[in-house]
Amino acid sequence: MDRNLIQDRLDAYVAEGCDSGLIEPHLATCADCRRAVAELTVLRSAMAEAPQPLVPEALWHAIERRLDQAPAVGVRRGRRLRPLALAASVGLAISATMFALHRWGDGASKVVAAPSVDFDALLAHVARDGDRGLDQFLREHRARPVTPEEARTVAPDVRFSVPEALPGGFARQAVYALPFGQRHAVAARYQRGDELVCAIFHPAMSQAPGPDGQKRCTCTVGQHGGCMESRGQWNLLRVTEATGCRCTPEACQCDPTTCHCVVSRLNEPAELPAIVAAISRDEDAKVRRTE
Amino acid sequence: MTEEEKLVQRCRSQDREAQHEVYRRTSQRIYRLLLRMTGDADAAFDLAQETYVRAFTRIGQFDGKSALATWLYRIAVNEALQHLRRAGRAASRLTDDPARREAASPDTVATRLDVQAALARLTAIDRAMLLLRYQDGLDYAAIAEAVGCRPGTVASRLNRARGRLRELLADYDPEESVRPSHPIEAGRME
Repeated sequence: MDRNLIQDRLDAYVAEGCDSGLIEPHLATCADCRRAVAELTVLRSAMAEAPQPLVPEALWHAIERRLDQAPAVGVRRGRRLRPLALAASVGLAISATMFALHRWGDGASKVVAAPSVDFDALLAHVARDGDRGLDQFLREHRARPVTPEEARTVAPDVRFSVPEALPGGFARQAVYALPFGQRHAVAARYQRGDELVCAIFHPAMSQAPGPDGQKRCTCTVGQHGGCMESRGQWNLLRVTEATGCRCTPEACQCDPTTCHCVVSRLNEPAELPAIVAAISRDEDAKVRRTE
Repeated sequence: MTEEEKLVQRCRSQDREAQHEVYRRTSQRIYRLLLRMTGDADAAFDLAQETYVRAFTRIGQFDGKSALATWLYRIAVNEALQHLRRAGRAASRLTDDPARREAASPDTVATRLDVQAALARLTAIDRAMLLLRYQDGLDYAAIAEAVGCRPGTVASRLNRARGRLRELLADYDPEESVRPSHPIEAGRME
């Protein structure tokens, strides 16, 4: 008989009192198995009867606070405020917004004077902490979980697609709505084992020409400037149908409403294009562009 | 619809009373597991907090195929493993195990002290397997769900973890360090 199976049966015998009728007769004749049963019994009682720690009373209150929390305070773990991290995060958000305004704001442009999605913070968080870093970013941006349908309702001017699965076996874990000035951005979390993909869709922030005077797609504004940024293994990719667009207004095929972004550790040439295509698929936007 | 299904449904609506009821039913086990896995009361507090916040904000992902408590165990085990990995302590000895300190009072059973001490020296995943089985009494299917392994491997992994624990316990009792071979090694059961 297989060794594991025997151990399994002895274990079940000790833990659950399961006896198929073979164990006790066998034990009567086998000193080694009696020793094994005694050992399992000691193990079980030593572990089950160890002193029961008291759950700290503050734990539920900390959980409640986290559930209620306006995440902008940046408390990841209830009892441990991290003033430097918080200050740095707020500073980055302000800097990024000021940078966007400085870079694109000429008074006549249509820069939205609203908090931007702080991609510096996002990359820093995920580079440090993986999917928990994403949680932190979402808390800091006061994201709340929504259904895809709710996301479309709260962010009617954002074009996006959040299918249940992405190419490569990524399953959708959650969809969030993030306040974005007076409007909302939408984020979607996908996972394949430990591999994380986060798509973020936010309203475009400017329709002004860039510093070089060329018309850029509206989605190429802000601190991430319409290209790829990396932090450690993590990459932020701006996603449109014409990355790095320099097209004229008449010929522009880019989505003028939404900046599509993907944060991941994926190997760009190998996996990202199919994912990008999947989340960029927005029938509404296509209809609108052809009008 | 079972009582648990109703509770889950209410949690999906972010019903705070339902969330507290889930917490009330499970927090003792979850906190104890995290405390024994990390050996650090502060870390256990933080990880328990993270476990419940994640659970309540992602309750929509709970498919009801396992018990809610098993799903919480899974989140808690993942949190603990990530914490230990980050801290670089997954395979190291836990030196600040409050359970061990508590167990060290004069009237405690020596065996229990030995087991707790040896347990703290196991790898995090072995520790999790043994705690889930012998402390919390989970069956193999629930353990598989909680640690994210195939159900068919639980018996062998538990067996391996027990073997390692036995080796560590032998340190405390040199006479027991060499055990006689057993018929099961030869694949027979008389």
